[in-house]
Parts: sequence; C-alpha cells; structure tokens
Amino acid sequence: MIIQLLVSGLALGSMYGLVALGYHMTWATSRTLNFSQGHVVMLGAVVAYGVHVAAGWPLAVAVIATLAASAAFGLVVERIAVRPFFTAGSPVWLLSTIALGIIVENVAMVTFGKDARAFPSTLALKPVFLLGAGVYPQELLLPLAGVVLMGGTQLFYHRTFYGRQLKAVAWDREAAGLMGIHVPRAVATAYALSAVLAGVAGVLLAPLLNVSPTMGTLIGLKAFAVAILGGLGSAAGIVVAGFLYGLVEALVAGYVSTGAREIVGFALVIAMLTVRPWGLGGRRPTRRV
Amino acid sequence: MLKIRGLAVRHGEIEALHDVSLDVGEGEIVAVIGPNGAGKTSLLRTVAGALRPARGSITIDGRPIAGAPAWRVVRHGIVLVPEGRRIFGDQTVRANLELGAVSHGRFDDMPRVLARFPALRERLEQPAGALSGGQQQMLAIARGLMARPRLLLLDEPSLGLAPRLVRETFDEVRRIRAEGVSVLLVEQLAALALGVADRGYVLDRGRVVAAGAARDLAADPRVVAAYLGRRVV
Repeated sequence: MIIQLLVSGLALGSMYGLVALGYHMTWATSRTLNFSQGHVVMLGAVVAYGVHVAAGWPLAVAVIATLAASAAFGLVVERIAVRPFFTAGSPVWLLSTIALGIIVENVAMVTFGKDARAFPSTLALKPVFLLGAGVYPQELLLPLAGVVLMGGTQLFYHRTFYGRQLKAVAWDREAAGLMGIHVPRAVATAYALSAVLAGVAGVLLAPLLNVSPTMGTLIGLKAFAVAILGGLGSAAGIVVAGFLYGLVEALVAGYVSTGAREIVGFALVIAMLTVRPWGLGGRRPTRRV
Repeated sequence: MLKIRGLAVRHGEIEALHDVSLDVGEGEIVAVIGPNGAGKTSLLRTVAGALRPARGSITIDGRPIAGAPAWRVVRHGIVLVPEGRRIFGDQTVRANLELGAVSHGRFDDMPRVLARFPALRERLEQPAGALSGGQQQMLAIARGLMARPRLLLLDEPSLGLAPRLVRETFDEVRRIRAEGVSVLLVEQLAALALGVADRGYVLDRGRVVAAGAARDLAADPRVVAAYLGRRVV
C-alpha cells in the first residue's frame, strides 16, 4: 500500500505545487492573489471535458483550447477583479476574485450540470505495476508533468528577457516602471500564466478525479495552504511544500483516515504560521529603509 | 527641453510641492538643492512619472508628460536614477543593464556604457546585490544610461558614498553632459552640486525660494547661510 500512497501523494502534491505557483506569481508581481485559482482548475477540467469528451476534438487541440480559455479567464480576473482595486490600493481584490470564482462555478453548474462525470483517459484505464503495487499511468504522468511545468516556468523567469522583466517587477515594482517596464502588462501576464498553470492542473487531474463544477474549491484551498507553507515569495519553497503536502495527505488518508486528511493538512499550515510565518523557502522579512 | 510650470504634488493630505516652475535646457546640468523634506525627490519622481501631479504642467520639447506613467515617460528619453539605487539585487549586473534598455530593446550600448565603469565589466555575471555601495551606485547610473536618456534625473547620487566616490560620481555627471545628455540633479551636498551645475534652484518646504546661475547661488549670502552652512565634503 505504501507505494500506492506515495505515488498518489506525489501526483496530487505536484498539482498543488503547480496551482500554488500561480499564487506566488501574482503575489510577486502585484501583491495580490487570485482566490479563484481553484475555480480555474475546475474551468480547465470542464472546458477540456467539453471540447475533448463531448465535442470530440483531438486531445492536443483540446488542451490548447483549454489553456487559452484559462489564460483568458486569468486576464479577465486581473482586469475586472484586481486592477481597479489594486491601483486604488484597496484590498477588495480579495473578495472580488472570490466572487468571480463563484460566478464561474455557477456558470459551470448551468452549462455542465451538477453531477460529476468521468473523464475517460487511456492512462487511467488499467493500472500498471510498480514495485508490486498497482498505479495508474496518469498518476505517474502527473508528477512528471508537474516538475517539467514548474521547471519550465523557472526557465522562463530566469532565461528570457520578458521573464527577467517580471522578476524585476517582483523585486521593485516602481524601479521596474522607471526603467520602462510596462508594469500593468506584467501583472496581467502573471495572472494569465498563473491561470494557465491552474488550467493545466485541471486537465491533468480530470481523469483521476471526476469532473464537476465544485471539484476545484478544495484544490484551490489546499494549493493556498501549500503557498503559505512554502512561502508566497518562494517558488522553490512552494514546489517542495506541494510534494510534502501531497505525501502527508496521502499517508494520513491511508494509515489514519480520510477524515483526518484535511485536519492534518491545515494544522500544518497553522503550525507553520506560528513558527515560521514566511514559509519554508521564504526569507524573514526585513524592513526596508 | 524640460519645462515645469506651476507644479503641485500631494502626498495624501500634505502638499509636497507648491507652484514649482523649473527649466532644463539642452545640454545643461541643473541642480536642485534644499533641506531634507523640501520636496526634491517628489519633484524628480513626478517628472519621471512615479507620482501624479495635482496641478501644473510638465513638457519635454513641448510635449506634455504630466501624469503619464513612468514606462511612457522613459520613452521620451527622461530617465530617473532613483534615490537609494533601487537596482534589481536578485539579478546579475548584466541583467540589470539589459533591463535598463527595456524601453528600446537594444543592448548594443553595453560596451560603451561599461567602458565608463570598468568595475562593473569585471562583475557582469555577479548578482547585483553583492556589489559594494559605490558599485551599486555606478550600476544604477549605468542602467539609467542604457535607456539612452536625453535628460537624466539623478536623485542623491552621493548618498552613502565615500568622499572619493562622490567626486568620481560628479566627474561622471560632467562626462555624461559632455555627451549631450542634460542632467537634473537633486543633491544634499549643495556646494558640490552647485560646483558641477550650470544653474540651480533652491527648494524649501515645497517652494522654489531661489534660482539662478549656480555660481551666483553659491555666492549668495542668504543661500550660503541657509543651505550651504554645513559643508560635508
């Protein structure tokens, strides 16, 4: 059983990390968060279901369409739920992003229906055997895809000129603007990218969980827990925290009970906030003079 | 080239600048001096687009820029080297210089800019945060030059520098002007600033209280008594 638990823990953990990285990206560039991140996971799964399973588009095309839809939603969130309040220095984005998420969930309820549906995938049909344990290939694909995508985002940030502009905005927004970086566009880009990561997570998770309008809520919350554990300011901390959270969750569910899973997970967050509020990878905040 | 008329800037309730008018001509070095809290930094930040004016006009070659965001002002050739350097400490020296060129996207000025700052050339691949204070100031100026300014705004370039480095920085300001770049310089070290400038303005509590040729200001007994009293360098 331990192998299965570890595999599913790593699989889910990688997705938490991916979604949480989205929180980190928008936080770094604008000190705001998209609290509908979990709903974007759902959006990704529902759109992928709609165009691939229902409409029969080839998988590759369906994935591209899903990512485009996720990015578009990220831009909408930034434009109507964040920017008006961000420029006014008000924390209302906290509520407005949640509100947008609820709207998306309701739209999905109406168009997709309340019931959970299975997302057929050849990778989740029959288990393969790994060290004597049966696991779905999809579960092996998840951590792999997660690591590649998380690595890809880091390469983008460090190796491309536009990525370095985003880093500059994250480091010192005003100085970045003074150098000629279009700061609002950088913030919008961070929102689009962060939504793409959540949308990908939705597509990858769809065959394992069932697709439903409410599937994203808990994932979004857990990803937020992961972002806090890892440190909102630290991409590396978040990746590690994602895997840790997934593993702890799987082990608690396997050896204690599924009911205890969330209790232990969120207790970890509270413990972290008490002893090290800046997270695993974050740096203790220093006051700038 | 730069014309400021009747500029007022507010910080919440407080008016940081009242009715400030100021000019910088082509190829001029203009110094703004005055005590702490006089509004010198607010003035530069407003010209650069980091602050929005409450009233007044700012034009560059007749084109209005008051209230435009910073990234648009840069494209008019106005570049602020901010107080406290504000370099991107988590990125390499090279990346900082490249980011200076964001507004036009051409990095081919780098050899020319590095030729003035040999210390930076040796540290191109080091994180900028690891540089000494003086080197960080050089990097901040070099990064500003990468933007191809026609008007360079320098905010307290001497801050935190050893006297020798202060002199080097001011020599650099002269060389920058010699290449045709106008300079608007805000400085606590008033005597030194007036020494390098063509003209000067004295700012006190948000108002221009004296203006004129730098030499005349430096000799004006009222200015000397009120603002040049404590000579630091």
